[in-house]
Amino acid sequence: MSVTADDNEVLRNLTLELRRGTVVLAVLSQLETALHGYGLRKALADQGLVVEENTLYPLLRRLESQGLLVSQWREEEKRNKRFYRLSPAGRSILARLLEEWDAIDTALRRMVGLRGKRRAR
Amino acid sequence: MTLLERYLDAVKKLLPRDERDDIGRELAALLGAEMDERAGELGRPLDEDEQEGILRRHGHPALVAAQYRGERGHFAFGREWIGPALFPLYRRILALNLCLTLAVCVVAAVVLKAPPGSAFAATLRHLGLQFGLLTVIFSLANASLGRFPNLRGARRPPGSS
Repeated sequence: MSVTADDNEVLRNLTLELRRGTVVLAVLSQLETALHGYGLRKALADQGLVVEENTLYPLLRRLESQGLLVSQWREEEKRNKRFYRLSPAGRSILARLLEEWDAIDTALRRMVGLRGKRRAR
Repeated sequence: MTLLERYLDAVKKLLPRDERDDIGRELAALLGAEMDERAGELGRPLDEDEQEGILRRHGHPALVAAQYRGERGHFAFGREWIGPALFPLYRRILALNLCLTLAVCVVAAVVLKAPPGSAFAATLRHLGLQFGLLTVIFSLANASLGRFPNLRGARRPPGSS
């Protein structure tokens, strides 16, 4: 069965949805030390997660308004930049999100594993 | 005014007034840092094409502002006709337009003493027409978001795209 343009669109949208939640987790996990938006984007990309600027920068502000991050303007390389880092609330939420992620991962692996066995029969 | 300043102005116009300066300052720092790094790699200041390349990759000002406003609403029928960048304005103008149309139709029916059946049909026709027209206009505007705005104004050399 060939993959149609509609299938590709569906896949693109589902992938975006799947990534949306994991991007928050990735961002929080990198902000134990303070980083500015551009530095964070590079740090994520270096570890294999490319996030568009247009997604990442507004997300940082949103996480700050939710109390998960704190920010501070600092000069670096002759330019004033806003540095974000985890707040105490953000650190505790990150730990709980990681537990949730672990539970989802375990459950999904179990399901996919079972389905694989059934198919093999 | 530099290309970056024009770009930031275009984004800021579409942001809530109380957040405009703060977001503008942060975006200026982020895009400026990216331009500095690129210039450092090249060992020379960026020309306008290179600056515009970075701004283009960052996105159309209307889409950038929509992300900061956290807009998710859209109008889709088979495919997306009006995206999150224009949807809030579309919804506001549509609501205003339909209310005015309804009011004018009711007043006209009362003044002209139209029979209820034909007044109702005429009102539905006018409401449908307004909805269709506005949706087409906003769909066309939405399609134009695929084209990046000309930030260079009159200084753009002739023949360049």
